[in-house]
Formats: sequence, C-alpha cells, structure tokens
Amino acid sequence: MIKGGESLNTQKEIPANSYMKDVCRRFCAHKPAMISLVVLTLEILAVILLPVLLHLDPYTTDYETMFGSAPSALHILGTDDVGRDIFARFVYGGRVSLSVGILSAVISLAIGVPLGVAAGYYRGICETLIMRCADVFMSFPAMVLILVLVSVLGPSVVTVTIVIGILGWPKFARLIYGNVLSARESDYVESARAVGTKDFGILTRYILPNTFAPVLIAFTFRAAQAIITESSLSFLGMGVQPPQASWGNILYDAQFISILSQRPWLWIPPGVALVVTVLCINFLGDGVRDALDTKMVI
Amino acid sequence: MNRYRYIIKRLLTSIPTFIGITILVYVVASLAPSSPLEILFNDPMATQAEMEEMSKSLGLDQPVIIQYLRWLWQLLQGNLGTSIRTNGDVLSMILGRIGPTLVLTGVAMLLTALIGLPLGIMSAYKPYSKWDYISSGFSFIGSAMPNFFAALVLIYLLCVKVRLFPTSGMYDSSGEKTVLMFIHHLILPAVVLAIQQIGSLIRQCRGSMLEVLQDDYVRTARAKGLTEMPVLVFHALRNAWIPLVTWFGMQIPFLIGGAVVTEQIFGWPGLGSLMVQSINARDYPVIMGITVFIAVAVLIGNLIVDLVYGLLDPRIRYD
Repeated sequence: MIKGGESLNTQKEIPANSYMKDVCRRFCAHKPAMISLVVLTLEILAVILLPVLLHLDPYTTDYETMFGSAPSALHILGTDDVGRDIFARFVYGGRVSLSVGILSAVISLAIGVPLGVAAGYYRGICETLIMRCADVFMSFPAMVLILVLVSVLGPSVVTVTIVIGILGWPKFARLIYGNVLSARESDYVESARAVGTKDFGILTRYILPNTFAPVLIAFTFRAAQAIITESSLSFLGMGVQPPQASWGNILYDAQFISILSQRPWLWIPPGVALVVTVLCINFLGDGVRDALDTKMVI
Repeated sequence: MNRYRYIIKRLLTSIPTFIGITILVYVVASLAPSSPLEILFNDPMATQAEMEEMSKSLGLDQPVIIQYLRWLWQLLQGNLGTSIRTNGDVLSMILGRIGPTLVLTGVAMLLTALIGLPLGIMSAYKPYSKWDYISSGFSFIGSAMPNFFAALVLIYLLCVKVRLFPTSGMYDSSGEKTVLMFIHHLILPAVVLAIQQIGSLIRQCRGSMLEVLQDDYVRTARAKGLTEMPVLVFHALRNAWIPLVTWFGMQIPFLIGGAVVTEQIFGWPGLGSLMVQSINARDYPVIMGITVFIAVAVLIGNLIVDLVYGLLDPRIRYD
C-alpha cells in the first residue's frame, strides 16, 4: 500500500478495473464467442432436459410405425431400421458425444499438466524422460494409435473416453513445459525462492497461475478435437457401440448408399450438430484467447 | 556446429524415439486379451503338448523383455511377420498398399497448398475485407468438419444427386485401368482429405503473412517500385515460409489419420483401409506392422522438415 495515497485522488481518476473485469469485458465484445457460448449452453441444456421433458426413448422399438419410416408427427426424424425413434437417438447421442469430448479432455489435462510441470521445473532426467515420451506419442497419428488401443481393449464409451484422454497428454505436457521453463527463470520466482518459499509453494502460487490461460485455451481445442475423434471412431464402428447412440454411430448407417440417398433426415442432423458444436467450441477458445491476452487492446 | 554435424546429431536423437515407438507398439499389442498363442493356434484340435511345443519354438515361454528384443531384431531385419488373416508377409502387404496412400495424401497436400496458400495470402493482404471474411469463414467451417461427414455430404451431392463421381475404389469394374479413370476416382477422396487441412492452412498462412507484411523490407520492396505480386511472393511469402513448413511437418500425422477414415469410406485400397480391415479381423501382426511403419514414416517426415529449414533460411544456426 502506498503511504499518503490520498494525494493521488486529486489526479485524474483511472478506472480501477480488475483483471477479471477486463477479461470479461473483452470476452463479451467478441461476438462469435458470445454467440457460441449461447449455442453451446442451449445445446447442453437440450441434451440434459429434452429426454426428461419429452420422455424420449432411444432404445425401444415402435411396432406401430413402419421400420425406417420418414419423419412424422409421432417421430419427428422418423425411425431407424429397427424401429427406434431417431430424434431420441440424436438427443441421447449428443449426451454421449459431448461428455466423451469434455471428459477425455479433462483426462488429457490431468495427465499432461503434472508431467509438463515436472519436466519444466525439475529439469534433468525427469525432463529427458518425459519429453522423449511425448515425442514418441506424437510420432503416431493419434487416430491410428487410438484405433489399435480401442480394438485391443474392446470398444465402449468408457474405453473410448479413456483412450482419447490418455493419448492427448503430450499436447498439454509440451505447452506447460514451455511455460514453466520460462516462468522459473523469471524475477518473481527468483524472489520467491530468495525469501525461502518451498518448491510446492512456488509451483502452486507463482508458476501454475501463469499457465492457466494457455491451458484453458488448449482445453477447449482439445475437447473439440476429442469430439471429432470419438465420432470418427464410432463412424468406423470402433467407438460407441449400439444400442447406445452417439452422433458418430448414427452416421455409421449412412455408409449404406440406400440410407445415404433416400433418408437424409437420418444423417444430416447429427452431422450438422457435430460441425456446429466443434465450430462453437473453437470460437469459444478464440474468444477466451483474445480475452486473456492482456497485451491486446480493443 | 556445421550442418553435417547437425544432421548426424538429429539422426542419433531419432534412435531413442524409434525404440520408444517399438516399445509402445509392443506394449499396446500385448494388452490384447487373447495371447499371441491363442491367435496363432486357434485350432481346437491342438493338444496341450502341441501348444507347449509351439510356444517354446516361438519363444513365448521366454521373459517379456527377451520376446520384445527378438521381435525388435526381426523388425530391424525387415521381417514384420505373417498375417493371420491372409498368411501373407506383412511387409509385402504394406508395401503393396503404400502406393495408393502416398498418391492420395500427396494429392491432398498439393490441393491444400494450391488452395490454402492463395486464400491465406489474400486474407492477410486485405484483412477484414469481403475476401478475408469468405476465406476465414471457410477456414473455420473446414476445420470443424469431421472428414467422414464431409465425405458423406459430397457423396450425397456429387455421386447420388448429380452423378459426377464414382463412390468407391480406384478403378471401375470394367477391368480397364486408365490414368483418366484413376484421376476420376481420386478427386473426391483427395478433396475430402484436403478440406480440414485447407481450413487450418488458411489460418496459419494468414497469421504468419500478417506479421511479415508489416516488416521494413516489404515497405522497401514497394518503395523501389515493385508491383504487388512480386512483393507478396518473393519478399513476404519467402519470409513467412518457416512457420508454414513447421505446419506442414505437423500435419503429417493428421493426414495419415485422416487417410484411415477417408480410405475406408471410399474403398481406396491403401494402408488406411488395410488397417481397418486388420483391426476388424484382429490381425495383430499386420496392425503392429502398419503402426510401426507409419510411426517411422512420421519420424522421417519430421526429420526432413527439420533439415529443410536450413535450406529455406540460411540464417538458421545449428546449435
């Protein structure tokens, strides 16, 4: 605190905006990000609430309606080849796709951040081992390694989430590693060390808060990527297995040319939903990046 | 450090990565619930004694580390084993499929560069213009589009509604194999594979060109009376190359991953569709072979990218 700060009051008043206020203001000014936030919120509410409100049932065959029927008042997106309501499957599929995306990004983060911190802060053998491992993982096309792992472990929602999550760690580790490496040399870390702060304190109080912004941004992009990966796996029949629905495995049926050409209402909604979701998450990530970058002035 | 010492050092540091790759593939394959023994001798007639003898002759009674080293030794000699599904030699199966994949990914990369670079440069040249919004919009949607959905949409529009392109294979069933027919079959899968890449390249190119266009030498080039085209291509792009080459290097794994899905949809007889077939048949020797092969290809790709830096920018020091 400045002693005798009262004299400052006579000067022209500087708007006393806190950092978080600034960030919020910049985020709100980013139109695509705001729209995306609204769309994603509505989407999440829809997949949570619609099944309860409309009593949707994605698993039971409706024997009253013809199998593979066109949209009608009863089934607004028609029924599939075994007579299940496609709209219900679409909504339930959204639940699966969104949660696989978010949960696997959380797993990647939970593995990658500690490893990146360890490599960047402790250096030495820790650094060599962890960063070499990251190189090894990055040499594989993620899709190929995920396909192999899922086929070995048996495809299901749980394995798909865990495998996509585990294989996403190197991105986070590298990002954190770079940030920690530069932060540990900074003056404020040195001063913290000089006054006798322990490693743990330095990490949690000075270094980790500095990595928050890049990690948050990487998290959004990772979640979008995970949604695409899950849907691609399910599309190949190697992801979420029927009767459970996911946007990817609804699209699986469209591999048959008869369904593709004659029943577009079956495959267009989940496909468009995928694109819109990924697009919104990417915009959100962009908005967060612009908002957190304090050097940028609007 | 001179360039040759750098190349040697870079080659040497790839060795631990290669060993790491083989360990990872071996560990993943050994996670399989069925042991290699069961896969190899899925014969119900085999007696316990026969099984034990076989297991001994294959070295499966040895410790895991010895088994791994044996496998690695075979691998280094180019012996990737035999397929369980077809009984064929894995290496020759892979080599037979590598051509179509290389053509497909190569053409996709070429399309990416031919479309992505001009659009990215245009965006950076006139930021916030109508052109910029169009190409940035395309870039956002392109990179959010899973390539199987792009494939479905294009097949629906261009193969079902308007019968412009064939839906699958490399040649049609008439038995004739002409270059024209090959190209006709190649266009759709290559475009599908390129869409996501183009989206990402436009962004990358726009970013790195925007930075470079503000530099002094660009102003100098304009001041000495050069028209815009040479300024953009010879002065600006020449300096924006480095991040773009890095980008191209990083796309190799994504391209191959995308090829797996795209080849499967279009029945393109490359490595990707072999991979999916082998996974469906649980043909582990082939799966392991392809995985190692692809990882090594990516490793070599990154090595080449690193070496190309020096050629593109002589100022780069190797230390």
